[in-house]
Amino acid sequence: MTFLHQYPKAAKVAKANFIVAFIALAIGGLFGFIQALHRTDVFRGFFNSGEYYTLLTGHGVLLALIFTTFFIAGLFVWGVTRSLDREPENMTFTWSWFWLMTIGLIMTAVTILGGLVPDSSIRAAVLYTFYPPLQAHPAFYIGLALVIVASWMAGADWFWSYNKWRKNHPDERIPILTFMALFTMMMWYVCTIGVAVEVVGLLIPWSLGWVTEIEPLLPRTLFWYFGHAVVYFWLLPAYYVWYAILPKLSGGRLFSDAMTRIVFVIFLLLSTPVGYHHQYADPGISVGFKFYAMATTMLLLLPSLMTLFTVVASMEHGARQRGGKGYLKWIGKLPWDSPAFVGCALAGIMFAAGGFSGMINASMNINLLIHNTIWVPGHFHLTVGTAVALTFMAISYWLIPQLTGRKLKFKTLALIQPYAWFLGMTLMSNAMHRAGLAGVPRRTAEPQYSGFEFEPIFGTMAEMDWQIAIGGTILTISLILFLWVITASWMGGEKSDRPVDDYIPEPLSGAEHTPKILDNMKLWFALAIILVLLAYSFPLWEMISDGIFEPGALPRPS
Amino acid sequence: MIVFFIATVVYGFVAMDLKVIGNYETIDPQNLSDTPFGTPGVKEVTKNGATEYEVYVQTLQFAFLPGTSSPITVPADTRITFYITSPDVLHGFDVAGTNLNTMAIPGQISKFTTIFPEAREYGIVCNEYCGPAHHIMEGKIEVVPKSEFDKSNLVE
Amino acid sequence: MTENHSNSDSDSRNSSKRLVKILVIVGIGIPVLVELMTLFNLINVQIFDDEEVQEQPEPVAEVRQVTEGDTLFRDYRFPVTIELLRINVSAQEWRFELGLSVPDSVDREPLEIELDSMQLNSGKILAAGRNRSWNIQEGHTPPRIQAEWELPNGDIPGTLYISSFQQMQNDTASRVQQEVPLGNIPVRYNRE
Repeated sequence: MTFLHQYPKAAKVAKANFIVAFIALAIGGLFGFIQALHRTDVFRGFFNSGEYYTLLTGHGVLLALIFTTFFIAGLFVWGVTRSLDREPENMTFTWSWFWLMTIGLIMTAVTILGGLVPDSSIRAAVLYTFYPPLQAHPAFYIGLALVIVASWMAGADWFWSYNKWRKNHPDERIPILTFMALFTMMMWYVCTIGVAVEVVGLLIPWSLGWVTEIEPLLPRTLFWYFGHAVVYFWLLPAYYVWYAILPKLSGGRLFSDAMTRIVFVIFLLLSTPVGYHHQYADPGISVGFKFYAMATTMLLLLPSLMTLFTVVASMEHGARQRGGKGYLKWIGKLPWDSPAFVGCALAGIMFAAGGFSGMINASMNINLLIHNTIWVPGHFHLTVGTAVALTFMAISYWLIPQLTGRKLKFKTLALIQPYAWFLGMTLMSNAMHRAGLAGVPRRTAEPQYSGFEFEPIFGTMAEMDWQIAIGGTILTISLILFLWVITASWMGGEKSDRPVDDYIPEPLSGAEHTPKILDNMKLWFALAIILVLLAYSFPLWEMISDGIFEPGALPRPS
Repeated sequence: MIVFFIATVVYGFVAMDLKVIGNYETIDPQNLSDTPFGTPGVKEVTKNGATEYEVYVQTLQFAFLPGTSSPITVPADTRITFYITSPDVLHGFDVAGTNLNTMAIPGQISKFTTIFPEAREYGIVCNEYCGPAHHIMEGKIEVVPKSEFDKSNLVE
Repeated sequence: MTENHSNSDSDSRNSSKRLVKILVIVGIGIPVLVELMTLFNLINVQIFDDEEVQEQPEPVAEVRQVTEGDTLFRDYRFPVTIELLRINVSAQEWRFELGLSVPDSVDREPLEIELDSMQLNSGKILAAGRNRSWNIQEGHTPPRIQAEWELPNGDIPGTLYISSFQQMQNDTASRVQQEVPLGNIPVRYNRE
């Protein structure tokens, strides 16, 4: 008996979400490959440099917003259903959020891809940050709004299940898989308020022409109110996997239940008031608030370091169960031949590296050296592009068999995949960081200028370009391997009652040792709101006190 | 450790004069002609008895004004204050390879002060996506020795 | 987690062990090496290269790029000046505009100017098309020579091939072609 047989309805929903996620991953990944060759001037024959920005928008939206959101929805459907031991409460409601989210995605995707059709008036080359006054087709914003609203409904679905479960289990602790999902969603509710207000309140009326002028700083600030918390919305599900599943994959069990809950509580509290650290270089926001954002950002190191210790301790425990000994020798006893384990472990290692460049980004004045340079995409390809994406891919090798009732095919290819990703990403990201230090900008089709040349600290621009292109190519190969293994297993894997070992053992230090207060969702949610108000109420008031759309700029087509 | 990181930044602020912009001053992006941005360029001012320069720059799709068609020429070893705004969309103003790096946002004025220690050329890059020709938006700053600075190109 | 459970179990276990070894060496070894090299270079530059003068790259024999105000066919009887060189961007178009002027004295002799083709930075080549040649007869004031191209969004002209039918010094007429490397074309947003 695996998940499919126990909860057939939930399995169907989860599978539907994964299918959409993987299609978005395939298209977005392809765009990424073209960009890697284009901006490094290795090959520019696919599209011209104006169309590059359409591809870039597609890459960002499809991977950062669509792939993640759908994958997370599938993952949480699996986790909540399983840990509460109940199917979704009302299938009509569950399917309606799935379809609403899909319709929103299609609207958004069509407007973006319209940019590749000559003379099309349906365009949305505004990148995934869609800063006005560059204006996209209204359907772009409406589609995004639908995705967000549908994701709220998905969260409500899980809270619904939880409330029903609570009625039957008044004294039990929230199961850890549900706890993590609900706290992630609470954080999502707090942070999406910003983008919802931005899109529904400002951008949709403006793109429809109901108002002509817009103040650029206000939507930008609202975007970043959402824009950093969203990275934790991607990251927490990866933590979800590292805490709940990775220890098992390495042969052991979670080290501490309490630690896990504390980490998720801290993320709920601190994820949102940090948004200004994307706006250190902005006029119109005072240094004091930027400083507050920096302090909260630095505090977020704490839960990440706690995660590092807890996960490594769990892995060490697993390795020792498998016969590992010594201070470091146990590392060799970890299952380095299991694709799911390898992917998660390598993703974790890369997240540590991403954390280092993240500290640079977070440091207010050091940030100015690398603000909006290619250093920044170098950083987030380590975090969201590997820590999150590689974890999601790796855990698919373990989840998809449970959802389809079929064994994984082509295990050798599946094993090569995470190693290839790690190699490709190191090459690409290393060169991106170095080029960023020389001042090479991000988000540009042709980072070559006629009036001057960049001066790298060492190495040459050409060598970095090649390193990026080669890294990007290896990543593409890795992605193709992943898609191939998953498709083949999904369609033609050997049917089995128990396609993988899906038992998850109890933590070493269980919930009985965890302070009860950590489960008090209302308390933490209220605290999170207070911290947000502290960070945002005054600057936002300053921006809107002279009129919501003032000082106004006219729209510019993208 | 966290405290150490924050302390590093504070040290940079206090001891090394590494400042971050953060003034709140709005301007109507559709009517720059009545403001100092209407005559963009390098202006001479006297502050506390010393000669300093102010540079007013407009960033537009897809040029720095001044900066693109003619370089921004300023003397070395002198305090230079940049004022930057945009009449159309978001742009970046990044002096390549340095930490002079700011956003240009319609409706807001970015202001920062610097001293260029030596005579040399710097490239300016727009580092925020501003439209389909974003990649061609570039400019130049020419820092000349103080003694060779030609004041005939100043604007009033 | 070995491949299969047939008789050759130990064989396949060995080969899978070898695969893991190779993967670890390539997949983790190379990244570690790359990062170590970066670290080494960074430290090297910080500590030892402080005084070293930046090596100036050899000035490449650069083709002078042509911009607004430059003159073509400089050595011929009728030089042609580029008056206008710009890309106009508006809601739905990306238009390259080129304006040329010829000296007024042209009315004494016939002159023919033809835009042959243009290569864009993306590599695409645009053929001449219609209305890309001007014939100036004796005794006529030169017309306004202006041409426009609708380009793919974002693309920028790199090289223009232009030819002119001119009277040579020895009173023969001949057709000369010039390859014009275009540089620094201003792109302006059209406010209309």
